[in-house]
Amino acid sequence: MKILVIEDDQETALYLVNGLTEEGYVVDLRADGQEGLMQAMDETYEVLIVDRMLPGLDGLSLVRRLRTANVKTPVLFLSALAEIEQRVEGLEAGGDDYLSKPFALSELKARIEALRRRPPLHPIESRLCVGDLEMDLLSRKVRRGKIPIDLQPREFRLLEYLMRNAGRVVTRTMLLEQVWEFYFDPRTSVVETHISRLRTKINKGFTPQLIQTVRGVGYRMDQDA
Amino acid sequence: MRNLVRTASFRLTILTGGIFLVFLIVTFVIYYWIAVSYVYQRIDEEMDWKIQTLTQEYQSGFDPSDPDLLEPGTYVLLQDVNGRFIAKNLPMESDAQRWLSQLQPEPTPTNNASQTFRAKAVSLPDGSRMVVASDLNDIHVVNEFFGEVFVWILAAIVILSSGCGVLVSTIILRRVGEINLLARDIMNGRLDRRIPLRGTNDEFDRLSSNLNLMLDRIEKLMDQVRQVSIDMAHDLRTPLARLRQSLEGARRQATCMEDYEKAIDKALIQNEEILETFSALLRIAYVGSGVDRQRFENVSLTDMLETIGETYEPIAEERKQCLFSTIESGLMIHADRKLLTQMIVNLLENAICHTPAETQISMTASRTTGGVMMVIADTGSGVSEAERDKIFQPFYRLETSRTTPGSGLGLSLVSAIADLHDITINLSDNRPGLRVTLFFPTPSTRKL
Repeated sequence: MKILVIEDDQETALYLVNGLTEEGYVVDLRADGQEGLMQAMDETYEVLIVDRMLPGLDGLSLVRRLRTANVKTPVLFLSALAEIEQRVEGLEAGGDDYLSKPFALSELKARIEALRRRPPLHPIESRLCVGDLEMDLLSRKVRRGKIPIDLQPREFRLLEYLMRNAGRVVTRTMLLEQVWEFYFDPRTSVVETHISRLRTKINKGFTPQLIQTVRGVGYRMDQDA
Repeated sequence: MRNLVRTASFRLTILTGGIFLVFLIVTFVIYYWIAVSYVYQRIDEEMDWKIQTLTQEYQSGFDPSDPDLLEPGTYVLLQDVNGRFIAKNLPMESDAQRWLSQLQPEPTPTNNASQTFRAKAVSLPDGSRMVVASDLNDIHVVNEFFGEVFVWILAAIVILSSGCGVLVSTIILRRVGEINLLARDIMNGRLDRRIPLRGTNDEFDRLSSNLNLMLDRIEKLMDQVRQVSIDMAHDLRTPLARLRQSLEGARRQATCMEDYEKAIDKALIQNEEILETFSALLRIAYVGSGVDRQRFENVSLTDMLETIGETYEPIAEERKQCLFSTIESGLMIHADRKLLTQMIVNLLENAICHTPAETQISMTASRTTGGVMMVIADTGSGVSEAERDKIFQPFYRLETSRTTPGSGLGLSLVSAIADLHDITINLSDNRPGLRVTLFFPTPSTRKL
């Protein structure tokens, strides 16, 4: 699993390289935009982590050129420019995810995993399954075993996101952004409350528990926990 | 004086004077031309008349030496067929035939060289030739008159317009000088100074009054900035102090790995709080600096509020509160979806977090004249009237909410987002509790 980090701030770069190496990734580092672009074109990486403000060539232009050159490696922007508009700019330039500094390594890892194994979109695929839990995306019905489960629209979306990312950790922030489109940190326990209600609904009378809490990081949906 | 000459008002006065002068010259030339033409016409008429009388007299026997024959200023030259002069008091020869012509005499010691004549010649039936001439004294008089008048008027205009220029500029310079002096005072830190008004309600008074209003606003903003800096320092010092305490504590007392881990986790949480305050400040600044309205989109307020309602009902329920929403269908607004979501969530979370159990919280939205009206009301302890304005200030926290978590920036952000969308927020008494009314103007009634 090879990752290219393009980041000019030494402290952050070191933190990233050390942290990701510990997690078992092979990490290459470039501190200059131009060099980073060359490296990303020359070698094959699974994920690129790009800072927005870089010497040589800024992150947005770098990714635009990469996409123009038809390099489709997933890109995660890492930036102190954290506002919604700047995030939109990042995604419009061809980025796949946007994480604002400061960030927790666990959050970054979860997002890298989500990017790296992003399943190819099957437009025909209309059913998601995790263990005996089944979700029909067309009729918007969910059942576990033979028992239908009644979900509210937001719960359905939450479950869908968890099932699409089955087997990997999703963080609280990822859920807030993807399920609720909240690009801020609410003061109340929105995610916890809804996960807990969802758990009650899908786990009632069944084993195993399908949604696990990963302490300090987030949640993971898995059939064999 | 140099300053005076360089003022806009002086230049303007001079320019006006100049334009006036040009008009005057044109008028003058026209008048002069009319006067001269008139004088010429009169001379010509007189000569015609003279030719007529002289011709008659010549034919009825003519005494060329009769001194009464010619009036002063009239000159005659009469030649017979052989070119012999019958009468001549014109001080020159003339080859004038039938036409009018201007004659200039040969300069001799006796005549006035500058004398010019206008002459007309006719051939008489017996073959002799008569030239009648008139001197152009009248024309000279007219020329002199106009010349003199012109010089006087020119002088008067130059003196008057310079005088006016100096006067007007002095008056204006004095008032501008006052403002300049004051501006320098203000630059030197005396932000409480204001421009005195004269009560004349002229453009200077209006300008001064507007400048004063601007200064009021700047002073208020400066105060706010100062207050925010102080509050920010206070609010950040507390968690930083706590962070330091827990780190010091760990350094002194921790004995095993587990203690260290605990201390680090605690430090991380405290650090997170500080970072959150900063990102809230950044977001307020970012929204306040004016997000690009091009990014606004048509948003279904109905869908947004229903989603938020659905999301927060269980949360209120967990706190033994009751949240119910009544949302009219098909409400559309033009907005930044993400910011608007945050604004409504902030207001709703305020209602949830700052009220006790058993509180009823309602969220309603409906069409009204000129826009959409949305109300978030609770039956909690409410906010006193005196504090309603203050709670939108950064870091302002009600005494009753000092202990609840939060940065004290939530409502400042709400206020900034509302400003960006031209949404008016009104706080009122819900008897009991707080009632927050938001009015979303439809794009057509939105002020630009």
